[in-house]
Amino acid sequence: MKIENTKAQMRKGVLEYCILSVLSHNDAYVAEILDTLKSAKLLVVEGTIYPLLTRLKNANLLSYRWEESTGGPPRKYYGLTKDGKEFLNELSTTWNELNYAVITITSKKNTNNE
Amino acid sequence: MNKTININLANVFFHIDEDAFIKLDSYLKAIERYLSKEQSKDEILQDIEARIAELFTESMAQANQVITMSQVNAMVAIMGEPEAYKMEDEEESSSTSTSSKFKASRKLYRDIERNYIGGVSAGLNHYLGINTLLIRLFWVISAVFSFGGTVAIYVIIWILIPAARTTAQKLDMQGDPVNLSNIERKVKEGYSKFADKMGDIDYEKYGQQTKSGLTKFLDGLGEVLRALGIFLSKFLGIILLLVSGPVLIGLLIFLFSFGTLSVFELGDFSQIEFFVLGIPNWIQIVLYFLVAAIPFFYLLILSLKLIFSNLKSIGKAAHITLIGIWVLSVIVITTLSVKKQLDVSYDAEVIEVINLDISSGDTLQIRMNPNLMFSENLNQSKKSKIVKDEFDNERLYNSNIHVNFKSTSDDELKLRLTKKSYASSKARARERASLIDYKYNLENNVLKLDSYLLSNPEPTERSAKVEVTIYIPENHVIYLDENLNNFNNRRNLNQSNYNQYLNYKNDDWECLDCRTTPDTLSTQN
Repeated sequence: MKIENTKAQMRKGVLEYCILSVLSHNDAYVAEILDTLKSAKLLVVEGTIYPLLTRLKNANLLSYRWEESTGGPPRKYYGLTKDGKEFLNELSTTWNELNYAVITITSKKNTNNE
Repeated sequence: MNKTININLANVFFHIDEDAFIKLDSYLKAIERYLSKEQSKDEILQDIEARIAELFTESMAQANQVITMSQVNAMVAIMGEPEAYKMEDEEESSSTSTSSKFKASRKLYRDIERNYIGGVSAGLNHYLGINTLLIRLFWVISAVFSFGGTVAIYVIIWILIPAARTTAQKLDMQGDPVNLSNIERKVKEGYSKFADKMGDIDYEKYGQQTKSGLTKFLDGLGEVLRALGIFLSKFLGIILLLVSGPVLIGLLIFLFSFGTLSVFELGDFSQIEFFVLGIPNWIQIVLYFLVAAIPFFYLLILSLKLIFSNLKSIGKAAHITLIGIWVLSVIVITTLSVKKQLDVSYDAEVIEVINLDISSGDTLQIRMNPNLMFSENLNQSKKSKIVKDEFDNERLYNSNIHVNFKSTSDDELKLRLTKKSYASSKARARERASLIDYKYNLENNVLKLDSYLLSNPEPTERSAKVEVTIYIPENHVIYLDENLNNFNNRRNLNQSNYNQYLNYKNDDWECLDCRTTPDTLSTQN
């Protein structure tokens, strides 16, 4: 078992949740989503996000509209759908539960170790 | 100075250096491979292209600047290596994906991490899903039974199949196994993609980027046809492989068995039939081998190309050499065949007439006289061979002897010897005919005719022959030995005429004592 694989899997697991969270405040195009994710160091390279966005869109969690940009090609602005908002709420609950569970378990271990 | 290429990336126009273009192109193709199982592959690729266009635009200080290698490298650093686009671990959990999990179709590479010799067997193990040990065992056993013929096939695969070096190649090596059910699934997959595209036309996409319904229809149809085409070409490839492989092995066995036969068993090439083209036998065999084997070698390459799409080329130099050798062999064989025909285009005869000194009252016995030094049995055969005569000279032995009988009104028995030879001119043919050694011997009223002739050891002398005609006066009693049978082709002489006392009248045999029983005949003798 390689540590890199495990890390990547952990990161990928929460990626969907984070993308939906970013879009919960306001619509954004890919580069903006990427900037947020990159600044939080969740994402190292951009490639991973494209298949993921398309899948979320295909699952009716996201919708998009085209907007012209200055200089560059037109941009796809993504936003949450009604389904997406419900999905995000469920994920938030699950995440909080998970977060609590992980903290409880790992901190217990830490105190045991000490 | 660099050559530049114009490209259209997400409807934005770019000048790009040729080397940078090659890198970008292979990068996009690699991503496409990794996304091949993805449902909306085209859409994802369009998004990626749009992002790349955006990154290029940002990195350009001014319009009309050329995209260079460093910009492409910077883009790859931001976007990530093609592997980053792969999301296989999420595939099962993703509720969005309705299609089942498809890996990229498997390609044959040599597995140089698990190799014994060239990694061919380990590669075939990935490709066919058969245990590596069994494949290795097959190579060893088949090599023994084909006298090393399959070793040649192994070497050809070794040369032509690339080794899996990059990550992408290693992944391709372990992709979906290539078998009938998978090919069938590919056809279905192609069809369902086609149906999806028909039902899922995204009209929201802007202007020209949206493909028309017709284009989508044709794309889908194309995918179905492509899958069928792959199936058919693999099928054809396997049939061609089954033809060309055994033929090549057979030709190799032919080549080596003849080669070893002449080198090790008989010691001297010239001992066996070296005369077909007038050149040593082994050269002739190599020539015939090359003329037959090179086309089959190409057929083998073609079949491997059809089966394994990622075959390496054997290289221009190898092609030129092979085709050159083939053309040369054909020319040599043709020239020698023509020359051989010309060599025997003239014939000449040398004739001798001898009176046989036998009084008319005596019975003449006629028999063939074999030389056991040269041949173990008394048969007329087409085979000629080199022998040593009593003076240790090399001579060409053959048994083209024909014995004929003719009636004559003369009182004396006559013998007419006709020695016939072929050559490229009349004079040479006559000279050679006169050099033919043919002996007979008359003793105690017994005429012994040699059952063979000896001539100069020249290729054309294989067809040298001697005709013996015996002129028989009427009422002369003749006794024919049975061993003449092989050398006489007269229709009117049948088996019962041998070992009998005969008269010859008007070109027909007359049995003198055939009415008597065999018992009384033997007492008469």
